[in-house]
Amino acid sequence: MNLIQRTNFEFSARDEDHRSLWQDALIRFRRNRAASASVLVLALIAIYSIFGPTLSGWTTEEIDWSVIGSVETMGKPSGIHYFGTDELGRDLFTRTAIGTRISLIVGLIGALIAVFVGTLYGAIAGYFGGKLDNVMMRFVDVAMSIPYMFVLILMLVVFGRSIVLLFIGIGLVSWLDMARIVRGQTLSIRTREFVENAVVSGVLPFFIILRHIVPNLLGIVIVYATLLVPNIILYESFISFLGLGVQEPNTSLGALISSGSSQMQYGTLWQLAFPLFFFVITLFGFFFAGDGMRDALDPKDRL
Amino acid sequence: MNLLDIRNLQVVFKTTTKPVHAVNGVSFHLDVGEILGVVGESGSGKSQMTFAMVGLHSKNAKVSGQALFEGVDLLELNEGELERIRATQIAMIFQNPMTALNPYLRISDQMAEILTFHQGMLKSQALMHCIHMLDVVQIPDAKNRLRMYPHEFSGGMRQRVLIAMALLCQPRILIADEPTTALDVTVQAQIVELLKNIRQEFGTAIILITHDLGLVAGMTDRIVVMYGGQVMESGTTESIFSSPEHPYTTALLDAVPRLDRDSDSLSVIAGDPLDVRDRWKGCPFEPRCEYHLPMCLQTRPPIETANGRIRACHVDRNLIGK
Amino acid sequence: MAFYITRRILVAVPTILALIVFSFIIMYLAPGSPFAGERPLPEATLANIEALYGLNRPFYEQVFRYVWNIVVHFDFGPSLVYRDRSVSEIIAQGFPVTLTYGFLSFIVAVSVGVVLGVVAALRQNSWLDYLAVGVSIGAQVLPNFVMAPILVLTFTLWLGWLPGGGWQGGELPYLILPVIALSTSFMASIARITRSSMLEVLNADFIFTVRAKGLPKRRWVLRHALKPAMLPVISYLGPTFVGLITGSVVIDIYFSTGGIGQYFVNAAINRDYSLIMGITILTGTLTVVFNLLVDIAYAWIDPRIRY
Ligand SMILES: Nc1ncnc2c1ncn2[C@@H]1O[C@H](COP(=O)(O)OP(=O)(O)OP(=O)(O)O)[C@@H](O)[C@H]1O
Ligand SMILES: [Mg+2]
Repeated sequence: MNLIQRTNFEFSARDEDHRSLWQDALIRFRRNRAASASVLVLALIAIYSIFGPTLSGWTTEEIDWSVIGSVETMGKPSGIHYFGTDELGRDLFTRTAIGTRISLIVGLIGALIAVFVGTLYGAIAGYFGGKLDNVMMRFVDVAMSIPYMFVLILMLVVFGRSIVLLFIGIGLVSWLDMARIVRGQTLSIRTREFVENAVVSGVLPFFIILRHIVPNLLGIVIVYATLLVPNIILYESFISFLGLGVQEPNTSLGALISSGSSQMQYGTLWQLAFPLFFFVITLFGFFFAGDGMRDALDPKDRL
Repeated sequence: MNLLDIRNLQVVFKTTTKPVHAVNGVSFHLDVGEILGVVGESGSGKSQMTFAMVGLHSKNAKVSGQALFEGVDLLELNEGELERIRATQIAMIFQNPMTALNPYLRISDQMAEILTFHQGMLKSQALMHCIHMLDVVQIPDAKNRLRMYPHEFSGGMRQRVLIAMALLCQPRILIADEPTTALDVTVQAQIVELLKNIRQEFGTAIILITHDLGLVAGMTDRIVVMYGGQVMESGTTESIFSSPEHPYTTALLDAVPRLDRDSDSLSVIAGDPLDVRDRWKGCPFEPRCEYHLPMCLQTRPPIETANGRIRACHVDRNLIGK
Repeated sequence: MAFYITRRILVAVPTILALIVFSFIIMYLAPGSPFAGERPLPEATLANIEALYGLNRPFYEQVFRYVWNIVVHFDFGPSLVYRDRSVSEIIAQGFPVTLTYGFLSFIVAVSVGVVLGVVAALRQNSWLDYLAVGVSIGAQVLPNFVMAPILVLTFTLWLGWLPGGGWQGGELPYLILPVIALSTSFMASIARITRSSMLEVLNADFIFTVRAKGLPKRRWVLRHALKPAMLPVISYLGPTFVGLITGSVVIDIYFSTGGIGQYFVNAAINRDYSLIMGITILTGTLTVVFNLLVDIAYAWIDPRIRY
């Protein structure tokens, strides 16, 4: 019965004008100090992980024989070894850089795999709906209720420990959340006019999903991918901490933390401190950047 | 003495940007057993005004003015004193019955707690009362219904439950904030009938907040027309309908569909609804007013009182609606 | 409600069976014989074991036999590394240890997390709120394998207050560090979830109705707000459980508790398939059962999903 115009406030927020939406988001993101600082810190970490070994002049496996036997005193951080050495006399500045590099790569590739699988899966379930959706989401529910870390370790043991399997394995166990989120989003995009139009004019579902649904999922996918990276880094570090992940002479932050913590009673605390510092800073960086993106893209949904 | 006397009520919200003047110096009164309609479009501050009266405004609100209930200024009371007045003296029902009940508790628990708390009844005694009240609001099979959860009721039924709940302590005033907006038309009519009966039976004074002039026409004694957090015009229902004296009221009346008019000539008030973040020096309706004068932009219209009617407009009353 | 529970059980049972079959298939697909490990077994033993597993039988028969032994006899076969002990014996020995501190960690994480979250929400923007938010953000980057060394460094090496490992039948001093290390990050997540869901409930429409009834705040928070605010927390209990089980592997290793995790990692390093599979299946089953309980608790609170 209410014929008096309602506020048209709601409409402007859902404007279809993509460029201004992204520009707005960028402005909001820049204004978020914690998030912008995080991006800067992450960039510095990336630079360190790429150029660290060159800067130090040591390679990962190279042993400084002069410190062997008295690592507590000779292996301290110094002008020769910026972060000190490990118990085998290897340069920690180099090793931390390599470890950070591996962790970042695992995080990024794992997240990419998870995003790819999760987005496709969720978009298909959400787009077709009905029985298919039911079955597909039921499967996600079931898969979610399994302690996948054990399954992943089982797979690593059976198929041999390789870094590639680690990437794929972690990626494949991390797509479930992504699939759920994407499905929910797809359900609402499906009912929008431009999708209905495409359906009516007989465009194949595959192209509708690719052309109309996926681009509209971009915002949420980017946000969750950013939040997924630190989680995958956590998984990888966990596995490497147990000695089941990345193998010598390669290393990752988890493996470095593990060896640092096994040496700490000998007073070589730097062995724990530097890898731990980069681990914590990297995770914080991704979490804050992800939160910042979420706030920037969806200002209503704080916290 | 009036049952309720609102004087120069103001509600200002602090926000991260500009302050929001949701209610901007509103005055009106309510007599015993009277039904008062408060009309105005969305965002005109109707709900915030009533929330402020019983201390339910949000934390970022600053309330000033006076709200005299039987001579006691509600705005001066502390939280404990207000709690004793809510439900027992002034009860409220809200716009959306679908979300107004706690979905996780049985109706019986949600109703009975009012009586056990405010009147110290035993649970069993309270339940008897609740069944009686559900009968009053014409919920069939009240005894069994009482044990159900909100989601087992339809929208109209839930609104009845909410009304029954509000009436449990026989309050002096019932504030009904858009009680029918979320319901479909036939159910709306039933709820309206019910509210009229309640006034008859219990002598409860009702403040009926709505967008819908049609609803107000059939049941209220007097009307307050609000816009932009201010009172535009008020008077008896009859006089407002027969001779509106404010451009906003005429615009509202024109927007009501009528049988005697061609259905596609329904008019909608031109211009965007007011954004209360902008506060004019002058009249809030000025940008949309077809009668507007240069002075409307500069000075706030004075409040004129004449033969029981109040209006705030610079335009001569005789020009309006002609 | 009974129907709902039955339905859930009907989903849970096949999930567990699927998990067993899935583990078996992975092992079946493993390149080479699963028993041709790094340490070659004597011919006779190998033949024995292969006969025991029926490795010369058709695939479906092997699967069936494996599942049957587990479900009916709780028998996962002999361990390949701890030669003279069966997987079930190892589980029976290590599992109670893990269960003890795991259970304590669960209680600590949930109770501290919920209290912290509720208080933070009720006093939004007070110092307590900032503290809770700060702790929960900080703890995101402090998983168990980071907490454990930090705690040992502080309380064992520097202060010398608490033992840095061992079990001693689960005496209190030996429990404290494992429980803190394991529970901190979950406690923080639960606090964050509780806080935000509580804030959301406090803004729900029905809270207005409740407040308009004139009940005092303490009363309506306990009666009306707490229950719905707990729903997201309850949903998070499943992942918490999985996280605790997974994290216990680190705790068992780091604190040398003699718990099941230590065996698991040893088994993984020595390719002791039957032990890995046994532990994986056990934890998987526990998780599925726990999730079943969580679902029932959820339905008990939320009347709308009892169908
Ligand atoms: N906590 C708040 N902070 C800032 N502004 C607020 C707050 N609560 C309400 N407002 C603003 O106050 C104005 C008046 O709101 P109110 O709910 O009273 O309108 P209304 O007349 O009841 O409208 P409706 O018919 O839609 O219910 C609105 O513009 C709203 O945006
Ligand atoms: Mg309102």
